[in-house]
This record gives sequence, C-alpha cells and structure tokens, in this order.
Amino acid sequence: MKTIVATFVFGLLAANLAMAETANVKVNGMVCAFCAQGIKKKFGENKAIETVDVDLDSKIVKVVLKKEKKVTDEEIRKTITDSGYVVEKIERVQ
Amino acid sequence: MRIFCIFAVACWSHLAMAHPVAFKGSTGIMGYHSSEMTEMEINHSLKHWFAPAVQTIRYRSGTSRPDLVVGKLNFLLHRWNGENYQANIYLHGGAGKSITERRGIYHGGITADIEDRKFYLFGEWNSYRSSVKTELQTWKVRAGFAPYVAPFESLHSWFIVELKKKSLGDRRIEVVPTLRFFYQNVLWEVGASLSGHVNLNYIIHF
Repeated sequence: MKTIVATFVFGLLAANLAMAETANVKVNGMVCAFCAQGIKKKFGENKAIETVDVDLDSKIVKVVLKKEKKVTDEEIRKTITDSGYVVEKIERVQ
Repeated sequence: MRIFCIFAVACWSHLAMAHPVAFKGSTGIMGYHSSEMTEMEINHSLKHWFAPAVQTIRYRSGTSRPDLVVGKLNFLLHRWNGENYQANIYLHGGAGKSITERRGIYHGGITADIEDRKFYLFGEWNSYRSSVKTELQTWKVRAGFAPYVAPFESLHSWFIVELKKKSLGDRRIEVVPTLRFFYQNVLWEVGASLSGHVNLNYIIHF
C-alpha cells in the first residue's frame, strides 16, 4: 500500500514539475541592480509568472511560470523592452 | 494612499536629481540637497524613454522655499545596451516660474552616462532662463567605481568623485567625494565637498 501511495505522490509531483516551464532570458545592458529593479517589478505584474530571478553575472533573467500557464516570447520581449533593456535570446526549459 | 506616501516623502526632504527616466509605469522621486542648493524632482515614466516631471530648485541660503519651479519632460534620446555596459543620453526641457524674480522661465538640459558593474561616468548640464537673463546654469561631472561587485538583491556601494559648478555664487568648481549605496529600489548618497559642504542625495523608484 505504501508503495502505491509513494508511486502516486511521486507521479503527481513529477507531473507538476513537468508542467512548470522556465524561460531563461539573456538581457543586454543589465549592469546596474538599481536600474534593473524594473525587470523584476514588471514581470511580477504578470499573473502567469511564479518567480523572477535576476543574475547580473550571467545577464540572465530566469522566469519561472506557474504550472499550466504560458507567456509568449513576445510578452517577455515587451516586458524587458518596457524596462529599458534588450533581449538577446530566450531559452525555454521544462 | 500610495500617491500620498510619494508626496509625503518628497515634501519631507529637500531632494532632487539623476536617472530622469526609468521603467514604464514607474514613479521616481529624486533629491539632491546641499547647504548651497536643493533640487527635487518627481517624475512618472509613461514609457521607458519618456517621463513628465516636476522639479523645484532652491539656490538661496536661509530659506526652505524653492526659487524655481519647473514642469518638464525627460526624454531618453538614446541608449546603448551592450553585453557588459549601458550608456544613455537624456534630454530634458520645460517651462516654469522663478518664484524669486516673479517671472516665467524655460529650461533645457542634457544628461549622459555610461557604466558597467565596476565603473561609472556621468555628465550633466542644465540651464534655466527667463526673458531677461539666465537665472541658473549648472554643470556636473562624476566618475565612480564599485569596490566590490554585488549580486542583484544585495547592498551595492560606489565611491564617486563629483565636480560641479553653478552660475551663481563664487562660480568655483566644487569637488565632492561621495559614497553611493543602493538596495533594491532605493538609492542614497552622502558626500562632503573639499570646502566642507555636506551633500545628501536620493532616488526612489516605485
């Protein structure tokens, strides 16, 4: 019985993880943490987004979506542009 | 409530200037305060390149009342977003009133900066003219460096040397070593000129 429950819980977790999508966005010009606060704030206004992490070393903004939610590349580019920066590339990972 | 808080902070301290345009939808309060001059600006970025603003300047000593009040438009003329740097040119202009002289004035200015995570250069010129004379002109040049490179959510520190001059008073170039700190959406600076004047500056983006 324990094995069945554990398998079910693991399957459920795996399914949830598989549905959570992450977009790694390479951003040019992102050198100042004070100025880049806008990126975090603008993404935070999007209800499809779970978390946003800004890494100034790699110049990557990691955008984790809520499960079963979608954000298009165009939306991501617009958010970054409205914050005053330029998207170099977007990589999607599950 | 939010607007009240913004204005309360703005009125509470005599502040003003820098980063005249921020991210779309943001409201900025900027202050630059010394014993010789106080500037304060409140702006709202309708676009990431355009922000209407209200600015007050006090240049007389012995009073807390502003000498100049200006409604202005700040434009990001051009931005270079490099992989490891950012550079900007801003234009600003507007019109207002000299409270001291009781006449209309118009304003024009330009700001330029370039920075990476360790070095920072900044230059600015502003002019406030009436039909009779130039009420005020200011020049400012800054160079700075960060003694350490901090992650996004950490406290950031910069050493900055500021050279500034204005068209009033003794017209000398003043040298102001300054410490800049910022954490999240709040930036503050403390400086002391070689002639002993203390400068306090801040910027807050909401």
